[in-house]
Amino acid sequence: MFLELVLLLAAIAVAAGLVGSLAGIGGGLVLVPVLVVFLQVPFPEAVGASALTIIATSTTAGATYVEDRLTNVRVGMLLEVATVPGAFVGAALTIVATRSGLTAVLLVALGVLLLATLPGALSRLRAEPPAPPTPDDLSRRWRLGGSYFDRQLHRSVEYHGGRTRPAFGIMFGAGIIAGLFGIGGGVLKVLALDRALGLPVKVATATSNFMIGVTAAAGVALLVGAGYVDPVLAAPLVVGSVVGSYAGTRILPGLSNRSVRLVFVPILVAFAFGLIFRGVLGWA
Amino acid sequence: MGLSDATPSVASSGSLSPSATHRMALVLRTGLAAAAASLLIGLGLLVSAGGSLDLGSLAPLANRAAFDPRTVGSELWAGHGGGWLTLGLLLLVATPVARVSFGLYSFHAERDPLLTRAALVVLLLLLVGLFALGPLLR
Repeated sequence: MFLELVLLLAAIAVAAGLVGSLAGIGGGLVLVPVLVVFLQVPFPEAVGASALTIIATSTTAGATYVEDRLTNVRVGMLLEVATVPGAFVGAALTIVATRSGLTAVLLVALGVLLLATLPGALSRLRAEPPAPPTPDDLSRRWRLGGSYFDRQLHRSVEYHGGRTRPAFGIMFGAGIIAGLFGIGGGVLKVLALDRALGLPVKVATATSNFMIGVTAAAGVALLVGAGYVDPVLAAPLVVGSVVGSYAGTRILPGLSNRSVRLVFVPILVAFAFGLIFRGVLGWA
Repeated sequence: MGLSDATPSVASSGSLSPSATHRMALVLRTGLAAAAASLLIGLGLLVSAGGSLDLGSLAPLANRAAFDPRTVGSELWAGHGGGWLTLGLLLLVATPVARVSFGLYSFHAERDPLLTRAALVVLLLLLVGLFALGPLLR
């Protein structure tokens, strides 16, 4: 039975890692609900295990995207200054909320917040690549630009960052959400990089993956301290997520921006409704 | 520095040189491979020992030992699969920390003070979280 359970957990993680890698969201939004709803894993333990798989997912995808030069390392490392403190706040809130019975309220509020971001994401479906934003003073001073070779367009695409300050604010929020729910926070990271900074969606997705591991490591530090990490549960999930996310990185470069967003938007909808239902029905 | 300087005509991942980005990817892959190998060894040992975990036992996890890095040495010495799992998870958490450390070194070597400071801040925050904030909640 132990072997069967290990294989089941690994298979779940393969699917979550594949979806998370393609959408730049880390897979936690798939994994946490499955663990809590279908396997009856207590929410805090699911958060701890998920946070560890997020590190594996981000590392697998991150290494490939860095080498393919899709990731903007400069943007990623600068914005980690905002996500890491956010993850500390989020993980601390998880511990407090779990001990106070307030998790359901947080889930519903987050679901509503994410639904509110959908119209903006959908309105840019036709942009291929997105229209370049006007760089602000920080973007110029910090040289938040770059280029990548788009295999789908068969040409090099140059880009530069737009609104830097909103991106930092959104990234702090992404860190909080990552720490709170054991997810990558990639939903908000991609929105910050894509909508606020105006990076091409493939660069935003790759840079988000690059950042997710560091954000998750910050959250894990606190979750381990609070006793919310179980190695026997986490180990098969980590191994499975590595396989799934690697498969995702092989698929992503050949897709168009529109295709990547078409994957991303339905997942965002599922995430939002999943959170609301879990909160309202008390699944957390 | 004008915008044209920030948008070179060749593929650019920000400002790191191609060799630095290659080595950064190597750091990530090495850490992950070591972590995955350790986890697989641990799972193999637990499976071969006839582990008793089943779906029903996932709910009340409180009766199982939580992740405790302090026990890794003794468990590895005793040949317990759990020790390998703990080591694997430690290596996994250490991998992004190593990536930030490598970024700090690389940006310093490439004389980029802004990114050097950013990497230093992130590294210090991670170390504070791992060695100060985490144990505080134990």
